[in-house]
Amino acid sequence: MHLITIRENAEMSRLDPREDEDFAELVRLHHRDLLVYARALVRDDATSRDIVQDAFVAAYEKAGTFNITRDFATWMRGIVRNKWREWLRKNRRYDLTDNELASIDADVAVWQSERASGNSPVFEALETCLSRLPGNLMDTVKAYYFEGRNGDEAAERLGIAPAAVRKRLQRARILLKQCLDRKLDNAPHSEN
Amino acid sequence: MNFATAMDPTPEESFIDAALHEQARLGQAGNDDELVAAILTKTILDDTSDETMALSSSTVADRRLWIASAVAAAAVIALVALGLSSLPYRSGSAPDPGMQFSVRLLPAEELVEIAEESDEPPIAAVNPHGNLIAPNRVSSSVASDLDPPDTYLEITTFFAPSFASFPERSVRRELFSIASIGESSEGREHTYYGNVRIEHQDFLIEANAAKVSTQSSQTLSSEEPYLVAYDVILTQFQPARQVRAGKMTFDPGDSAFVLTGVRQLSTSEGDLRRFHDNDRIILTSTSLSIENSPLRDYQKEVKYANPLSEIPK
Repeated sequence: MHLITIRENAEMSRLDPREDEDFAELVRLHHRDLLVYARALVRDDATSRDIVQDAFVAAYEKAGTFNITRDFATWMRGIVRNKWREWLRKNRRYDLTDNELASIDADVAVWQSERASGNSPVFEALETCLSRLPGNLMDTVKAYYFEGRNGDEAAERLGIAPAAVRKRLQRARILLKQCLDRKLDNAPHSEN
Repeated sequence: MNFATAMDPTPEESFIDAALHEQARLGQAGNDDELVAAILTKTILDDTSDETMALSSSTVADRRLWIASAVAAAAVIALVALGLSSLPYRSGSAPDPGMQFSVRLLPAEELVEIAEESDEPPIAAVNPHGNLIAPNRVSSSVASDLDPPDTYLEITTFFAPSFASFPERSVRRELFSIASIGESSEGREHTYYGNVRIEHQDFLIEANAAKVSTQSSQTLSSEEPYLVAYDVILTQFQPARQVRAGKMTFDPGDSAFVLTGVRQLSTSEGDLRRFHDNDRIILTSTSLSIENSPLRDYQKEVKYANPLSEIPK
């Protein structure tokens, strides 16, 4: 049972981050999408949470500069991206090419706009797509993501080689992406 | 490009990989309530912001009232969602049918009447620090710069007769004073946020947000916490201990504070900082225990240097 309701696009667009009440609602509505985005960039749970927190604090401080006619999700992605670049400068981790960054950005943007249109939220769609994975891929995804095992542990549990785990995860991610893309293509779009 | 391990996704798979991680961490529709509470505390609930400082005192009061009502819906929904979606504290056993709980919130003025009630069963000597707390004791041990608390949480545990040591029905009361910048209620769920300060006879809990569920008797088991606080600093007065943690629940059955997401434990012997996400600290007035995660969780982190030096041929 879930108590979270997805607001319609029109209602979401009325929220003004310069108003404290609306800002709190925007934090609640957008933090998960931004966590996914930040995690895709940094690949680390704690860092992605720090980046999203810093991004919302920066957004609050700069709320006066926000153009209410613009899309809040897009604005926040830009701030998260800037925070990620700051983090990169301090931490000399792997970087992404412009194309790779644009690809991640596009994935999150599509997802956010679908959710804003009142269509199936991404985690719901992902749940459906997961249930359609072949059994061996599902077992591997479960062991690696949902049981928190590393590659070697997942391999030991499944009785296969670590290289096979890597291939299965890769295959599962590709199938899930294709499934999600199909779902988004078929989703009914609102009139907004 | 320099990816950390062979299991990491390619950039094209990063989005799905991140979504799977978040799905596994928070569930399909769960919110990251700790993060939301931390963001709100650093933004709209931050009293030190220039805008708030510039307001007159009456405007500040109005603003607080306004913020309280404004944030209430978001906070309540988020925290209730957490209660439904996250794993609650489990004591490891089924609810004890020999134990019943009564949980209620009391205005400060009712405390005297509570202390004078005399038709209750005898107080059990289950925990020497868990007896009825005199009202004047609640906040005497810690200097407080907040307004006096106007709410008290009373949790009463009724013990059925059992074994030779407790042949009669007995009762134990725990009393907490609660002060915060804002609060809201929905049914039996009460949410406090912004500089939350919860005082107990032996403990002080400072938190970003807290939730109280007032249920009576057997309708709520210890699997569903009566008192939860987020982003917590818990201080024990005697012996002196302090724990910083992401989440704290109170288990009235054992009169224990259960802390998860522990960041630091400080005692008279020093500080401990290396905790795993799933480690738990269980603190009572008379005991401290640390429950570690299964060993496999550590295997990801602990790396040992090869003790044998390699000699080039």
